[in-house]
Formats: sequence, structure tokens, C-alpha cells
Amino acid sequence: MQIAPLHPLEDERLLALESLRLLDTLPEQEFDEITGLASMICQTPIALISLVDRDRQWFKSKKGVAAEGTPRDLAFCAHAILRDEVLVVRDAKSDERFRDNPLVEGAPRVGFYAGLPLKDPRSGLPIGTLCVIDHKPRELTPEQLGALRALGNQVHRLLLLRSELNQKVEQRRRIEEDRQRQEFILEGAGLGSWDWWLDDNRVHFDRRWCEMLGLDHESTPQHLSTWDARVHPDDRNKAYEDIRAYLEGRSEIYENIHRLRHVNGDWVWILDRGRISERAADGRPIRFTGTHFDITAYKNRELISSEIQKMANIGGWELDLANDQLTWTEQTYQIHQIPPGTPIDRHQAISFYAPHEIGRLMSRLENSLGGAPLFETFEFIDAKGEKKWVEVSGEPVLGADGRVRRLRGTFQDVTQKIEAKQALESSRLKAAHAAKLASLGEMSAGVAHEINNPLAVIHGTIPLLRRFMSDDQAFQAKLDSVSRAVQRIAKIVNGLRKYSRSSDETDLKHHAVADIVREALVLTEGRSKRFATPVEVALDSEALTLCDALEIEQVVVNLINNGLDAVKDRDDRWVRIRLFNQDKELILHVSDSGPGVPPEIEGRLFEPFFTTKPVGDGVGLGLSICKGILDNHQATLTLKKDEPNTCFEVRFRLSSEAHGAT
Amino acid sequence: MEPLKVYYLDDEIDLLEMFRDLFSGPGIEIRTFVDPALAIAEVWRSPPDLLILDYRLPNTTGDKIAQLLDPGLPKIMITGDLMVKTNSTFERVFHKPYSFSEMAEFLESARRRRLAG
Repeated sequence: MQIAPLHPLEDERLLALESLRLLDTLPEQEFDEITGLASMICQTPIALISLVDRDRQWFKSKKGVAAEGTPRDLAFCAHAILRDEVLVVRDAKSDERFRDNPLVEGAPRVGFYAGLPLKDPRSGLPIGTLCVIDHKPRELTPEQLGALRALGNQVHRLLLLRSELNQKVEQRRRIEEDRQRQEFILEGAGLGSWDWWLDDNRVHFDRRWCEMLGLDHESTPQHLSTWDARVHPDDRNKAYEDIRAYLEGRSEIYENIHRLRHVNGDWVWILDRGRISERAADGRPIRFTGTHFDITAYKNRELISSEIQKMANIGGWELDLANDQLTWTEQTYQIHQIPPGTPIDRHQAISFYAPHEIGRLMSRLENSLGGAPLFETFEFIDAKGEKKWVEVSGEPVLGADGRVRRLRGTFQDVTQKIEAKQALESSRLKAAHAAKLASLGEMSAGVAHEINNPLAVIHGTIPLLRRFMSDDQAFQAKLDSVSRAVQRIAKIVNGLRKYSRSSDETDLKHHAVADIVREALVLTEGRSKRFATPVEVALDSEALTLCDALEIEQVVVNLINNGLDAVKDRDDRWVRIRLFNQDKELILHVSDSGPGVPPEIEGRLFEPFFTTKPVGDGVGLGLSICKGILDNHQATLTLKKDEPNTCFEVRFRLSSEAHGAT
Repeated sequence: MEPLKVYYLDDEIDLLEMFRDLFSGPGIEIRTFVDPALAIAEVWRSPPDLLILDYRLPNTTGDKIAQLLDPGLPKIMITGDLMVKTNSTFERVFHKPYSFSEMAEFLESARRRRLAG
């Protein structure tokens, strides 16, 4: 016998057979009727529909045999499927191919075989045969052969039906699989879904969509009204607006956050997303599908922080660079005095800043586009025309590509803070100014005297000059005395000129404190003379310190004048000034013959408006201003306690380029 | 006829010199002092007809010097200090810069009074 070779497209053939899903299935009447007819028409005891599998033939339908199939090597059908036409073996015993075939020698003792190849309706590849078998050699009449072909066609039709059915089943299975997969994803992500037919507002809400709101899935009306009836009134308009914008193509995506009423009365925060899933032939959207995500937990946290922000008067803002869309929080709207939700663009937003601030704002925004955080205070005018101060912070939000996608930050009304600061600053300036005026007033009396004396000399000498015109020596002497008087006046005026400086800003330079003390002495000389109080001076250091000379001079004048005032009614009157270096510090002592400061007022010495002088004699700002000035110079002012007399000590930091003690 | 004897104490030498140059004459004899102690000693030793004191002096004031002297001695004050007001110790207070003709008139009237007295 000969074993049939494999079909040239054997792998594909086996795949086609497999996909028909006929192997090892239960007998089916349609197939059995055909084998019944074949056996009857061809007058054979046996008729089969045999499928040639990889290693066997298996009988889908069998008439006249009990076996389920045979090994492929013995199968007549394995030969038959290699042909296009019917294979007829009239006498198996005398055929080379089958002579010693066990199926010929033993049961079922094949003497005659006629097999019509059956083809897979989709691929056209042979998968088996419809065959008739007799135990003895014989022939088929042309009518019988014709009938066999007709039956073969019938089997083909059955196979075609089967194949189509299989495809449908497969499709359904895939759809079901997809559905299950989607379900799985939605379930895992905690998403509910909705599927909205726009023409009649039928909406399919899935089980989780309903469960989010405590609704029973079975009894929930599958209609838009289910959703509509549960949306928070404050959120409804915005939700519809966002839907409309998306459906009309005005926005890329539909995304909206709104509240829906739970069956238990609570509000559930929903992140709603959707996209058009079907369009009519004319492009009009007809089906809109999306998901619901319960964000109540996040939202509550957000609300808490936004409540805190409200209390702190902090708003938020975000600028989406992709579409230039600016978003404000409610608080930001309130600071602007605009109804929350009013659409606002970047240009409108900038127009609220004071004109002189816009340049700075733009350049800071520009910087933050480059990645630099923004944190600035700006002058600002709200929609009602009220001037405010706002503190704006901002930082860039980067996209996955590392480019700046958005800018966002906080927006805070800091008007009160700034105004308080300005008031403080202005009262400080006023106090400093008052102190300056006060010390000027105190000095002016002494200064007037200093000027009046030389003035009197000049005044009196002029008529004398005429008289001494002829006496050259006397004339020269008079001129000298006028010149001395003029020089004295010039020196005093020069000392005063510094006080006329209009700027309130300090002018830091390296100065020898000894020089400053000398200048101060010119200004206090008048008073010390008037009070007949000698000022003894020992300047033992010419060291430099970084300071505003005028401010330090004010301090020294103040300390000397305080000393002069303190001792003016005493019999022993002196004021002593000592300047010396000690441990890398420059120390100035201003002491007077007074008995020191009583302990009960010691603590109040440096308070503003504290004074021991009679009303009208002093404003009481002296020491507090001195202390303020020295604080700014990182110098200290203290009352020295281990001295028998009143002694104020000032400690200056030495300049790095300090001179040594002289 | 004895001239009017005037002593003038001031710590400004230029002023003293100027005063002497301006007002000395046949009827007026002027002596000037820079040192308060010397002035006081001289007044005690030989009282003048008129004592002129500067208010502000080294370590003291004209006011205080006047209290050490005979209250009956005519005294006037010349001061550049704006705060000093007229008081009973002094017949008159001249504020610097004062008018020379006023000073001349005052000295002249003092001279006449002494003659009259």
C-alpha cells in the first residue's frame, strides 16, 4: 500500500479544518441525512463524511460503520483530498495504493471506494470527503456519480452555514470579551459609564453609574432626565455649556466637574468626561459616550483648603498656555470685585494692575515662563476703582515634554498688610523728622549766639574801618578781625548745611567717628557755653566705621545736649566725651556730672516720648531715635551701669579698613 | 569833669576791641575784661559808673556775676543769646547785633544822669 502524501498547503488546510469546529462534535441530523441518501442512492452498505485531520480521519457522519475514524495513513480519503475530482477505486485488492491496506484485508473489508473531496467554503482547501464504500469491487453509474456530487454540494452548503455561524459566534464572543474587558477597566478605575443618544436623549447608564448615586440599576430610567434631575443647580448651566461647547466643536474635549444628588441626599462630586462615539452621515454627532468618576474625597480636601484660602484672602489662578485660557478661583474674582465665573482673558486681567506696575508684572511673568517662580507685590485697582495691593505668586507647570504648559499660583489681597507697613514706616519717618526738628530747635538758640557774636564784630568793625582808613596798621587789624568773624560764621553754617539734606535715605560711607564728634561739638558749643558747662573731650581713636555721618552726628549732638540738660541746675557741671578702641570695637562714652539714671526709669529710657524734662523742654524722642539710628548701623546704645555718673555707651563696628588708635 | 567810667566783660576780644574803638571818647572811659574773675576783682576794688556784662561767659553767666556785686551798681547786659530776657538786675539788655546809635545814646544818657546825680 501507499501512504498518501501531505497536501501542499497542509498547515493552512489543518487550520481551515480546525476553524470549522466540526471535529469531535456530536452527530448532526443534517449530515447524517446526506450520508443516508448517499448510501441509498449508490447502493453501498457504507457512506461517510470523513474529515482528514493531522494524524487521523474522523467521521462527522457515518452510515454502516461503528468506528469513529481511522489512522490517517490507512485512509482512502487522505488520497481523495489531494484531487479535485471524485476518486473511484473499483477493486481495492488489485489497486497498488490499497492492496495490503488493513482496511482492505480486515474490517470493514473495503472492496470499492468512491470519495468526493469536500472543501472549506472560505479557503477552498480540502478538509475531507463524502465517500461511499462497498465490501466487493463494483462501479457507480453516471447517475449515481451525479447524485454523489449533488450531495457533496449539499455538504458544502452546510459547511458554509456552519462557517458563517462560527464567525458570528466568534464575533459575539469577541464583543463579549471586549465588553468584559471594558467592564473590568471601568470597574477597576471606579468609573461609571453613560451612553447618550442625542436624538431622543435615551441614555444608557451602567450599573456603577447608578451605584455612585445609590440608584438601583434595574429601575433607573435610561433617560437624560435621570441625570438632569440630580445635577446641583449651581453646576447645571456650566455642565450644559461645556457639553454644548464640545459637541459644537468649540472645545477639544468634554470635561466637567459637577455635583449630583445621591439618594441619601448627599452631594457627590463627579468628574464627567465624554466624547462623540458616533456621527450621522452629515457629520452631526448622534451618540455621546463617557464616564463618571466620583471625586468627592478629593473635592472635600480641596474645599477645606479653599476655605482656608478664603479665610486668608488667598485666591488662585491658572493660565493654560495652549489655549491662553485664564482660570480664577472665586476668591480671585472677589479681590477683583468681579462676579465669580465671568469669563476673563489675560489682557483683561493685566488691565487691573496700576499702569506703572504693568512693565514689572510682564517681565516677571516672562521670567516664570522660563521656569523662575514668581512672588511679587503689585499695586492694583479693582473693578470698583478701589486701590489695593496684591501679592501674586506663580510657578510654571511642565508637561511630559518638559515644556511649560501652564502657569499657576496664588493671588492675595495684602492691602492691609502693606498699608500697615507704610503707616509704620511713615510714622517712623515722622518721628525721625520730629526729632530732627526738635534737635534743630534746641540747637538754633546756641547757634544764633555763635553767629551773633562774630556778626556783631563785623557789624561794629565796618564803621571803624572808615575811621582807621589813614592808619594802615589799625586798618589791617580791623580787617583781620572781620575775616576771623566771617570764618567763624562760615564754619557754623557749614555744620548746619548738612541738616538741610532733603533725602530721607541714609548715605553710608566710611567715617572717622572722631571727625563726627568734632562736627557735633561745633553745634553744641553754643549750648555748653550758655549753660556754662564745660565739655571735656578725649578722642583717642581715629578709627573708621561705615555709617551715615549726619545720622551719627545727630546721635552725638543728642547725647551731648541730654548731658548738658541733665546737669544745668547743678553746681558741678561737666560733660565728658571719650572715644577709644576696645576689642575690635569703637566705643564712645558720653557722660555727665549727673548722678545717673534712677533704676525705676532705666527700662523706659529708650522708649519714644519718654522724657524727664519739664513739658515744653523736650519731645522725648531723643534717645529712642538715637537707638533706632544706631540699630540701623548695627551699633548699640546702652546706659553704662558701673559708673558713678550718668554714662551712655555707644559701640560701633570697626570698618575693615579701620585705622589704629592714635 | 570826670568821664563816665564803663567796665565791659565779654569773652570775645574782637567785640571788646570794637566796643572801645566805637565808644571811647572825651566823656567816656572804657575798660574791658575777658576774664570774669579779673573783672569782679576790679569792680570790688574800683567800682565803675556802668558795668556791661556779656551773658554767656566761660563757666559762668553775666547773670551770676551780677549777683555777686553791689545791687546799686548800674548794669546792662549785651548778649547774642536769644533766650535771655530783660530782668530787674539789669537796666537794659542789648541783643547782638545791637544798634550803635542806640548804644551811643544810652551811654550819653548815663553820662548825663551821673552829672545830674
